[in-house]
Amino acid sequence: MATTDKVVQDAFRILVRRALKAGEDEPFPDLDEFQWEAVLNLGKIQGVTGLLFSGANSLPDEILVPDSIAFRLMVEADRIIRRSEQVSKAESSLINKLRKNDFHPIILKGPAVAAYYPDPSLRESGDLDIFLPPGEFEAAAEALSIKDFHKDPDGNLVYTWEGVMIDQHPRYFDLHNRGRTDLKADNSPEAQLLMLSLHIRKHCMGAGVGLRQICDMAMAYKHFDGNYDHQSLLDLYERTGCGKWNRLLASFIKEYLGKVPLPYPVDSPLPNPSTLHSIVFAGGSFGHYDPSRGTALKKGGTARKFDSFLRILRRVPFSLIYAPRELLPYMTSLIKGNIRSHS
Amino acid sequence: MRLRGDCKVVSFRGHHLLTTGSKSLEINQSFAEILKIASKGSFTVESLASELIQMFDLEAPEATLEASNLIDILKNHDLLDGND
Repeated sequence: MATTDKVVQDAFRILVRRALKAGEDEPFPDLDEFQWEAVLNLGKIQGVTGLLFSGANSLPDEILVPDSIAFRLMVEADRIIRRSEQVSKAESSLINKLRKNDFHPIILKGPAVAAYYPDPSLRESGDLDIFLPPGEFEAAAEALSIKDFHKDPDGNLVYTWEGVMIDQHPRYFDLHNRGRTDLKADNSPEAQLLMLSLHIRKHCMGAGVGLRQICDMAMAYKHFDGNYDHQSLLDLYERTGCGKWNRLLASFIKEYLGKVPLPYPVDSPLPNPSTLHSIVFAGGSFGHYDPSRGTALKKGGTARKFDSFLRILRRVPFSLIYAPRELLPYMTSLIKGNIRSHS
Repeated sequence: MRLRGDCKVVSFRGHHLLTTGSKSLEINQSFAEILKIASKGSFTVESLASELIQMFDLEAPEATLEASNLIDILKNHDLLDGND
């Protein structure tokens, strides 16, 4: 069984690397239909089924993909492409409407990062995340004539626009402790890389994170390579208290995703990525595939909040090492947010 | 007539799937190639037949019959928008 697991894990990793153009010369193992099913299941858990479609499509002709798997991949790719189109359409109309009303929105994470992938339409889309500066945050929902919205414990305004869930963020960086920094949400390569890495760290401090988010970071590093100063970025990471975290993240990217240009010097030692590996493969995308999380999400309400709280507690050792300055302000902010959303 | 706006062809290692989001139909390589042309705008039996002649070196009567059959398949699966 252990051997089967390793073969499945290897095949999964190779397909993701092929899709990201980060490793196309690795030999692909022979898989039976059962093992292919397991690879597809991993893709679903990690939010990278579109990448598996692309990776498997690029395999040499002599590798046989069972018909049942081929059809499942095509149906899934179709679903992902259609969803990407829907999100993209909603994004254009929302941004146009906000700009016409003199707001200055910035698209965060997913849809913005999709453009950095070899095939943007195959990156799985979830919600649409936008950032609005503090002075514009509350007024925007009014300008959009949004009546049905709520604030989540993180302070985000959540509403639906053309069938797509919008997460309107009051902060560009997932950084609650900003006392010692003068960060600019200017969407520069450095700002985007910091924003993405802080977002992944925030999820690691709580529910968990999937490989999709790590692929986003890898694709952003690849996209921006040559357009930013490596040392300035590393200094920025140190200044914002996430130097150690970003070394762990880079180590995972290097080991798991292969040939991705990182800002670290080639001879710079990176830590063992096992801590992040265990978080990613524990529950996948936002921890949703951890059985206990699944049960709590189904129950909703207090059960979900209690489960989120337990997860944050369980990740305290991680947070103390990789986000020591952030843990207390983050927890305080969540508690305040929960009280606010109940009142 | 034209292909429904929500029609897509997804191809994977020699397999082709014509989809509308709610239903899908397995098609062969030639059908997939013809649909690629059909998806560019409106078409008629004659215009499709003319494409078939160029693509597959068919005689005109055979191409017209094939084009007619293809359009019938699309009609039967409710994959066409209007007729002109």
